[in-house]
Amino acid sequence: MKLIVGMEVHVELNTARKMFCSCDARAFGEKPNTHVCPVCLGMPGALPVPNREAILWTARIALALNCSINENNYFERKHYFYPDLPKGYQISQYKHPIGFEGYLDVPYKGKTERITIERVHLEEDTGKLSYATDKNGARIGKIDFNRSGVPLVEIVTHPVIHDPELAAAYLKQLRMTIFHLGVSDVDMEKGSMRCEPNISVRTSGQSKLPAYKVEIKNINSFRFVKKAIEYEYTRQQHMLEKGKTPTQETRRYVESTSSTEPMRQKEEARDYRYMPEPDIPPIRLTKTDIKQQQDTLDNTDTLDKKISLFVQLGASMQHAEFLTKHSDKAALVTDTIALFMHETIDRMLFQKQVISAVINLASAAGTTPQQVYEAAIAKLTPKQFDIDLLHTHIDAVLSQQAKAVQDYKAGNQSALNVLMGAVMRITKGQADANEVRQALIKKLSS
Amino acid sequence: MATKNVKKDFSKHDIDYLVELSKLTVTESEEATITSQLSQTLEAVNTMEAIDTSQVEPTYQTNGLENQFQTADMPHTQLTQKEALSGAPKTDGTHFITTGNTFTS
Amino acid sequence: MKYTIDSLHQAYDEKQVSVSEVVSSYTKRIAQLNPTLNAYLTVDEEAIAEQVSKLPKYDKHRFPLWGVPISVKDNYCTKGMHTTAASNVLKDFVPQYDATVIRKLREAGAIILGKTNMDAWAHGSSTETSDFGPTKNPHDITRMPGGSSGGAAVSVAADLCVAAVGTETAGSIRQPASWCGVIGLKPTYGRVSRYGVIAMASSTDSPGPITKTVADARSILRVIAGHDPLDATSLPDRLADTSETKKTITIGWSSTYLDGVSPDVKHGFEKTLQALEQKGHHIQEISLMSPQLSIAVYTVIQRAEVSSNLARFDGIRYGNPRSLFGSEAKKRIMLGTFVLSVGYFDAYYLKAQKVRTLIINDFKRAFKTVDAILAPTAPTTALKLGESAKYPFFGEIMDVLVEPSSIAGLPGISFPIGKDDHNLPIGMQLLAPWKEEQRLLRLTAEFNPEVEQVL
Repeated sequence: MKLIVGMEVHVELNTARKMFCSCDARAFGEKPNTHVCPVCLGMPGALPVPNREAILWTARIALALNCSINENNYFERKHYFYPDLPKGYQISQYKHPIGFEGYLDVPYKGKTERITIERVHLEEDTGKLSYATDKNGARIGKIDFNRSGVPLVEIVTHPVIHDPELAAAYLKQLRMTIFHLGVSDVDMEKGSMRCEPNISVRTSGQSKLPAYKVEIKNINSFRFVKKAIEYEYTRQQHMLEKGKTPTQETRRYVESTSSTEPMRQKEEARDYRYMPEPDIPPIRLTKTDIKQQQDTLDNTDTLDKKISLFVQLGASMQHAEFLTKHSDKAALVTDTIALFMHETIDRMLFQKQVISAVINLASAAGTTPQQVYEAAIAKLTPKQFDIDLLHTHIDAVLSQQAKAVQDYKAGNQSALNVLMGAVMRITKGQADANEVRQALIKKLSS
Repeated sequence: MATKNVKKDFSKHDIDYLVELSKLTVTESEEATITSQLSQTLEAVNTMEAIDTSQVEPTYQTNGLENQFQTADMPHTQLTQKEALSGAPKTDGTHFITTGNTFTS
Repeated sequence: MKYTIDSLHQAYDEKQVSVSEVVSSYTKRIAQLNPTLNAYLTVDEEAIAEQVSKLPKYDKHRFPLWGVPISVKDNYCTKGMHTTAASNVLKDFVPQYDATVIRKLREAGAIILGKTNMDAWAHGSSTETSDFGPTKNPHDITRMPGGSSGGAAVSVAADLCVAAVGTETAGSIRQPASWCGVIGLKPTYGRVSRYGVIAMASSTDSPGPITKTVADARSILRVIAGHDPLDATSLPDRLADTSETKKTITIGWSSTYLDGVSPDVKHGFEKTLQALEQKGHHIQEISLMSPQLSIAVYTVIQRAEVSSNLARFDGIRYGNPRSLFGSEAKKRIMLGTFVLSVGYFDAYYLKAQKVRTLIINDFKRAFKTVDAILAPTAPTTALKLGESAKYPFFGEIMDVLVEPSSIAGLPGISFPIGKDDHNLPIGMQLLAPWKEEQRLLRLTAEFNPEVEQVL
């Protein structure tokens, strides 16, 4: 059986205005329904007028992903009913996406995987629907349209990912690539980057793509993407082994159980009735437009953005500036950071460790990201302190701290902390605190 | 999805599907009339099939305009929260509220 | 008729009358006649008083519509004033914004008397599909005024305002104008901004004036025309850019536009053609595609766009639930949904847009040899109320003679040329090439068509 994953990622652009109206698009955290106008509220008679900056930035993303760019661009209406979709259709692109047939090279397990990209297109975001219960306990929907109409770029890969870890690696690389362009915050937590894997499983003997695919929504971090895919792979495999074909559906990821479940609403007839948008004339991107966007990919006025990228990763201003001037070390830092997958080590600590280690290298040449990665992880992993040595230290402390021992035995719990502090000082903080505590308690009760 | 040719008429099943897709409600008595009238309209509309359009491209917009974008000084109607919510049947003062059968109640 | 824009301004110039007096005389007449005619859905006296009090000092050059009482079709969003599209779905809707046309009218000093009745959602040619009762034709109140701008046309014909603004998707200005014996101008698509006009068919909707004189139509067009940054399909040209230098004009006519036309209307057409010839214009017979072919095309394109444009009415942010749509709206939404649906898009919507190209090319070819085209506006004069129920798609059938030009985005004007045996007005239309509505106004002005005061 083979896992087949295609990734669908939505990226919110950081433009000043919304996609089809001149509302201020930067509304995250603002009071609900305060960044709205007749257009993005879908009021009668309102008409969309496209934001040129958003179109150019979409081309920029598509170029960064090595796509071909359509010179002739159109919008289309994608029809479906949902409370957070004010017009009953989303203005999107279907037949003619701005960018098509590109790729992203992803460093993965020491190699480079080329993930092919089917399309990069531009659309508008919906409002935000959340749920609550009213005073009678009935479920109600609450809608805030501040986000409605914000420009959204959709990036879809071909179904070429066969490994959950690669999926996560792709997302990380994609995020970094787009962050570099200065067009989006690409922040999963704030919702400016969202991803939906499309998962199916091919049985041995099948040569074509399976006839179904399952889309997973509600994934809020790269870590959960990996778990969601792993869970789905298992779930689908089990079904196929029993001779059943998994239903084509949308499921939601459930964090607490690391599993997926069917979406609450019944899957409706998915007929979007795509129709060319009659309210928006065609948009021609000239060769000059495209060249200008291509130039920004290498331009020095993204220098500021590169500096802030490194600061965001945990570098001091000084180190960030150093890295932007030393591209070999910068590449080593970003390539190493892209490998991060660890569950127990804090990401920021890891990043800072990597940055400081790379900067202190005499030269980046001859050092691989894998080497830097392993060294950083080793440095940050708490060490197994020699157990006999630990017991020797504990015995010494217990004999020195007679009063604390007496207090503890009399029922004073905080005396334990005094003893712990003493042990940790002797071991220079290298022993594991929990281990020390357990050992002390055991000795004191014997 | 394969492109189909013209449809000859509408069955009750077809009408039910269209009603569901467009989130409408149709009473039983309305349904029979609508089915027959829509089938008649369909018949009239099917006369297009015979017209030879092999030599032309579709015209979606008659103006021939291109590249119409937002301008720096375009007028803007910024609605206050109160104005935005003013037409809504159900709000909690800050959000629009919807309940279960939004489209069919 | 009591007042036209010019005669009213003359009265203001000579201080014969004040704005308040004029407005008051109209609201009194409305109170008297509207219960019978049902032309107006909303007459907001407070709003009227406020407009009057806010008028700047009289200056008819700076404010070309200063103190002119105007009626507005109820599909234009008017800030603070009910806007219903004559449907129960929007029965209580009060917009927080003005349509661009309304803003321009206000800035020009016009006084909006109220909102006029229409076929609900502009779906029709009789004003009978209004959820708030039909409007009656003042020439014969057992008859329909036409539609969908029926209330607007009646408000002008019965002198319940000085002038009106309506909208046309295919026929909704011209046809009621012809049935009510007034002037109706459908400008070039994109000439007047659609922002704030409740959308019917996005690719053909054209706001325009319905008036007592050609001069009034021109005055209103000058105020409302022009590029709007809020409407990406509005023409960038200024109206003045279309220059007219020809002194004598070649008028074309096609026998295909006379098929199925009633004898009285045909006779009226022949008289009009003769009159044009007598004025020194050349007459030339041409061969245009049969307008019958446009019915299918227009029905598909319009209903598809209707089904899409009515999707926003879900009763969450404003309005009442979708269950309150009338049966005409439901039928149109369903057929529209069908022609856009998976597997049928190519055979219907795409096909219709290709035939549209054929229609556009047909007109282009014709306008190489003629400068304007004369035809009847409608195949008949006003029908009796209730007759529309006989037809499965009445609107599209009744508008056959105006659909080709609407699909092509061309300008057209309807003007009265006399009455038939039942004393009902007969309307003729002139069509011009793309962006040449000035030519239509000039030609029609030569006729000095008589719009009589009814009632």
